Amino acid sequence: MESCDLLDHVARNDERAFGRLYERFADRIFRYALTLLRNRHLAEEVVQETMIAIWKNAESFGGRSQVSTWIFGIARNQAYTLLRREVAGERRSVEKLFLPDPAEEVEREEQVRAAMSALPVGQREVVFLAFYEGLSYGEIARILAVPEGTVKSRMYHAKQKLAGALT
Amino acid sequence: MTDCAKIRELLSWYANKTLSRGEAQAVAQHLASCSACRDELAQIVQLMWEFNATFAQMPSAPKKTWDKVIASTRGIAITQLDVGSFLLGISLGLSVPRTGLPRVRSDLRFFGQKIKLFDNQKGGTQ
Repeated sequence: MESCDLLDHVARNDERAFGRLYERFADRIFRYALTLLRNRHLAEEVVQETMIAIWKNAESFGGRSQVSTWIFGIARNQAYTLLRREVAGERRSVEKLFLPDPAEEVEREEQVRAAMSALPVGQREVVFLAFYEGLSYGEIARILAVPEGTVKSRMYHAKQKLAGALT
Repeated sequence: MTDCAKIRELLSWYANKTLSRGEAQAVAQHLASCSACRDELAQIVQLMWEFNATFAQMPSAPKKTWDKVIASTRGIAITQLDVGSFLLGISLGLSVPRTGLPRVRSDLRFFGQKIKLFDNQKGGTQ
C-alpha cells in the first residue's frame, strides 16, 4: 500500500495502517533527527512526537506534496522545537552520528563520517535529504521552508567542503 | 552566472535522478561538451554513493519507541470491559491520553472482525 493510502487509513483511525506507516518511516525520521540533533534521546523524542502529530493530523494532509515531504517537514519542526528547548534549558550532549563498527572500520569511512559531522547543520540536512532520501531540491525546499535557490546553494557549498575534506 | 555554474548547482539532483525532464536534458546536453562538469558529476556520484552507505549505518529507532507512541495515542488504559466471545462480543474501553479529553471507545467483535461502534476521538461513531 502506498504511503498516501496508509495516511488516508490513519485519518480514519486505523491503528494497523498507523503501525505500517511507523515501520516505513520511524528509522528514516530517527536518522534525519540524528543528523540534525546528534543526540539519540532527542532523536527518539522527535520520532515519537512526529508520529503522534501524524496520528492527530493525518486528515489535514492535503496531498499537495509527497507524504515523505510532509512527514519530514513535521519531523524538522519537532527537532527544532526540541533544539530550542534544549538551548534554553540544559545543554545537550553531542554524540557521534554513527555507530562505530570495529570489524568493518576503514580509514575512508571514518573520513566520510568526520567530513559529514563537520558540516553546518543546514548543509548536513540537505545532503541527508538529497543523498539518502533521494529528494528533489523542490521537496527539500518545502521541508526546510526556504527558497529552492537556498537549497541548491547549501548543497553546492556542502559538496565543496566534502570534496575538500575527502581528497 | 556561467553555464557551468548553473549546471553544477543541479548536478547533485541530476545524480539522484530527481530533476524535471527539461532540466535533466539541459544538464545532459551540457555534460556532453564539458569535461570539467563531467568530472564534477563523477565526484558527486562517488560522494553520494559513500554518504548513502554511511547514512545507512546510522542506528535505527529504538524498539521501545513504538510502545511510547501507541501509549500516547491510545492513552493510559483506565478500564477495559469485554463481554461475549471471540465470535461475538462487545468491548468498552476508557483511557486517558497524555493531553486532551479522556477517550471512550467501543468495538463489536463479529466472527473475528472488529467493528468500531463508538470512539469519541478521531472519527467518532461509524
